[in-house]
Amino acid sequence: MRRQRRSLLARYLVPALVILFGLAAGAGSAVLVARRGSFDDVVRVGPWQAQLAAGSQNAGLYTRAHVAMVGLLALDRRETLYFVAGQDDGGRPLRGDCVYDVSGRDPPGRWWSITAYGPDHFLVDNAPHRFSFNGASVTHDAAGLFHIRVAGSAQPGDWLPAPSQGAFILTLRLYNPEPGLAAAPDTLKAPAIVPVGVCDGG
Amino acid sequence: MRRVFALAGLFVAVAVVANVAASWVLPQAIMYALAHRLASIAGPNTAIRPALPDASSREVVMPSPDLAYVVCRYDLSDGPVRVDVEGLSAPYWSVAAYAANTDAFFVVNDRTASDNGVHLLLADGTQSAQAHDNVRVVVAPSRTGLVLGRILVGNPQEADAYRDQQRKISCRPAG
Repeated sequence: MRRQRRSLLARYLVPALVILFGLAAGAGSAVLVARRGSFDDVVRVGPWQAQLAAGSQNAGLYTRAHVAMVGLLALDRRETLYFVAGQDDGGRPLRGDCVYDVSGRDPPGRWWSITAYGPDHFLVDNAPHRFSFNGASVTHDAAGLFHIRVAGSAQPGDWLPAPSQGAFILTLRLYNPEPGLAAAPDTLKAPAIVPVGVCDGG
Repeated sequence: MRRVFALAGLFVAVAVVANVAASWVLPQAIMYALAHRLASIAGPNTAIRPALPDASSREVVMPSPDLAYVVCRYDLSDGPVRVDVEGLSAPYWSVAAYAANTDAFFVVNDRTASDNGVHLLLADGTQSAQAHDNVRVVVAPSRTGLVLGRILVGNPQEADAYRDQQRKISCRPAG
């Protein structure tokens, strides 16, 4: 009798547990992949990365899931290009206790902005209530370059507040990019992201 | 040993199927959750005009602080839905429609719109809706979804100005 019971357990319970763990592993890995990113239709320019299938009806299964998690309701590339950077030009993660100079020329398009987000992809609370700079609000030097100081502590000039510590990301939005750039986003002359001074623990 | 391999194979097969299924469901689940949050603010086929995004804005990830949004949760169960943009004046504006799986299936902006503004009739494939005058029929791939208006705000300090512009985008049942 006891042997029969043990045999029934092995026959049904073990496969049932395997199925349960399989479901959990499958679903969990789907969320992980969606959060981390997909591999098709991604363009990288320095530390900036754009998901070209965002908002597109032709997006693949994993791309659509990824965009839904980190860029819900994005417009497709003909309307807007979204470049995201979580690292500086040297490949080090962006941190709020460091100071960065984000500089470059105005990207070719109708309107652009650079916005700082926390690691949760929401806007960063800050005293001056400033969350972005755009082509109209940024200051240009004599050479036509803009310089945005991104840091958790107050900075002179065009200061974009970041979290006082911990990671953050920058998003470059370019609305109605010029046709040449929309067709070949990897030709973007992307803003440089360079640490200013010493960045301890980097 | 054969049983171990069989169980391992079962685990892998189930995990693969679950991964694909979950990846397919995820966008729809996220849209459903957003629609549910919006439902607590207003009913379907009604324009919602939130304040400019700031650090307290947690409905949708990565909101642009430079844009005033107008959101309409569309539901075609009771017939087509009208979306209109009239007299909107901003350095840039656009209206996009998203299906239940998050795909953007329609977009128009201030440069592609006619001088008379934008007049859309959202309908599903089974509903008879005819274009007339300056009304354009847009066939939605899903019965529910979202219409999102974006209005570039020149100066966030001019609160009244952007509120006025948000009112130029409307959403209502067509019947």
